[in-house]
Amino acid sequence: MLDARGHDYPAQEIIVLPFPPNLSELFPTPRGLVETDWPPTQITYLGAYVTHLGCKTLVVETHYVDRDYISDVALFYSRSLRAYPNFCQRVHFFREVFDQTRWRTMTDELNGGGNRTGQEFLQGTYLGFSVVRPLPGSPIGRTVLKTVARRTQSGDLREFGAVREYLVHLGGFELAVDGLAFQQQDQGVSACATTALWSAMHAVARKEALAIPTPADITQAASRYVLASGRSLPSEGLNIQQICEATRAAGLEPLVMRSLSLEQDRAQLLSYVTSGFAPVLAIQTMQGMGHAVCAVGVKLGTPQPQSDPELHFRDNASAVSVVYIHDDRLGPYASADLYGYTQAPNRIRTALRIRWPRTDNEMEHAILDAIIVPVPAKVRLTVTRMRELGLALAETTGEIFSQFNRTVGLNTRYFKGIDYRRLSLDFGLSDDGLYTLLCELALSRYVGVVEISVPDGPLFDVLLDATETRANPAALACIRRRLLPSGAERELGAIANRLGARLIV
Amino acid sequence: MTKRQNTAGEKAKTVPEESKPQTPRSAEEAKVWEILEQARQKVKPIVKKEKEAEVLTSDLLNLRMKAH
Repeated sequence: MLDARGHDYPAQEIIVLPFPPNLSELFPTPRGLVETDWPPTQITYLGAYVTHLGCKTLVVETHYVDRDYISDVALFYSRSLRAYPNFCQRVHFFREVFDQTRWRTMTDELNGGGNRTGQEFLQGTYLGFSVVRPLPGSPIGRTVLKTVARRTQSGDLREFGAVREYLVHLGGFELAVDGLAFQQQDQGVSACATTALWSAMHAVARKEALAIPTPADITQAASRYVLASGRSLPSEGLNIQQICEATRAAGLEPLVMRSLSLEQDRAQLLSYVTSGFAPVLAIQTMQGMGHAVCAVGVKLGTPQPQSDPELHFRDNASAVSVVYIHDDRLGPYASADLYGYTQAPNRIRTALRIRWPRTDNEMEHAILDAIIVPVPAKVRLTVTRMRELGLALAETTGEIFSQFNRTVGLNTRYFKGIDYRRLSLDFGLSDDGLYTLLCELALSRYVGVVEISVPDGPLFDVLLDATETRANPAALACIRRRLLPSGAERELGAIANRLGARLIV
Repeated sequence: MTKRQNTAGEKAKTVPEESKPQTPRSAEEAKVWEILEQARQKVKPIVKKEKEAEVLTSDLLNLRMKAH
């Protein structure tokens, strides 16, 4: 008699566990000779990160079908000799202590629909989840975790602009977590560039209601027309052309910039990350190995004073000291200090010092080669083009308003037109000004915003049509913000007139 | 049936006259325009350098990322 294989439906359990002192205890050591150290760095990092978030309890779903992993199975693992399961386990992290009995009670209380005590308790303590794949050497699948606190102990500000909300269904509960998806490369379907691009797409595709490609989709799209080496599977990494191909295949457009100077790279990173676009950073380790990571946030200190005595403003991007990255060799939100590295006597490169969370242990130094940003097709105006106008406006403002003593600052970023309108309700505009902005000014889907500010807040914004190219003037409006000195509307009006833009005060 | 707005051949509503680029309306405005033009000239070297980042080479596009 033959076995009736695969006829039964799987069973599922939800298991509540206290958070162990060492998370790697939960991960079985693979059979045989493990080529790299066990546990892998990603598991150790994950344990350290959720410990830092204050994790006390784990809830494990024993049978979880993950869209990304099952797509990897369909493309690659289903054709292996070993029978890889098509399902994963999912581990949820919570900040409060509770046990299996409490879990059962909370679930029972759902009966009848009126009791939200458990829902509120779980949501209040939820830190995120990690999908654990049945791949012996690379178990960390899609992982979405909360970010660390916005304000650092030293008073610096962390801006995680590329995070978004994820809805999670656990038992009968719907939980939300703000983060950006991370996963470890499996070296079968995906390499570092695949997972970095996958994270970047998670940030931007949702803004455009586009389906987020799985790592398998990315690898296939990247190798459809350009195949840098012999084979696409197992993945042997991607080059920048292939990243661009995969980006276009997902319905987005790739912006590629060479890394030329620390100042400029800071400006690009700040502008794109705070706009909700996650740049892929092409870096090179000091050993000369190409690697890709995804930038998720930045840490901002105090903008540095202007170094050119002829100029009357400062670039707020000079406040960027750290970029938070998803590094698939390490984990999510890894801290990377930005600094200038003297590569040759006359050549200073942007470098990253990648660190472990909350320690001074250096993990690695790397040189930044390029920044690749997947953006919606309607974002045609680049940050460089916005800054071309913004630098001149900041200098003009610093010259006109000498009372600010060279503290006038420049920021550039993108907003969705509807989001900018929503924010403008708090700008303190006149009724007429607000009406013009809300009802009479046609906005592009995305607007570029040049924000001219002083340390206490913005003076004015210049709104740019992001669907324009560099050839045409694109200023839509000059908009007064709260800290513009009274009487300065005349100067702002003169600027608006010169730019061919509406004046909104 | 109501008349459609902005059909082909019809002119879309133009921006108000005062927001069109034109000659300065006053001496004060002329002064601001002059400062803006000087500022544009001053920041040109920075802008030129930043634009160089958008010039891509085949070496860069072929950079391969495969660390693990």
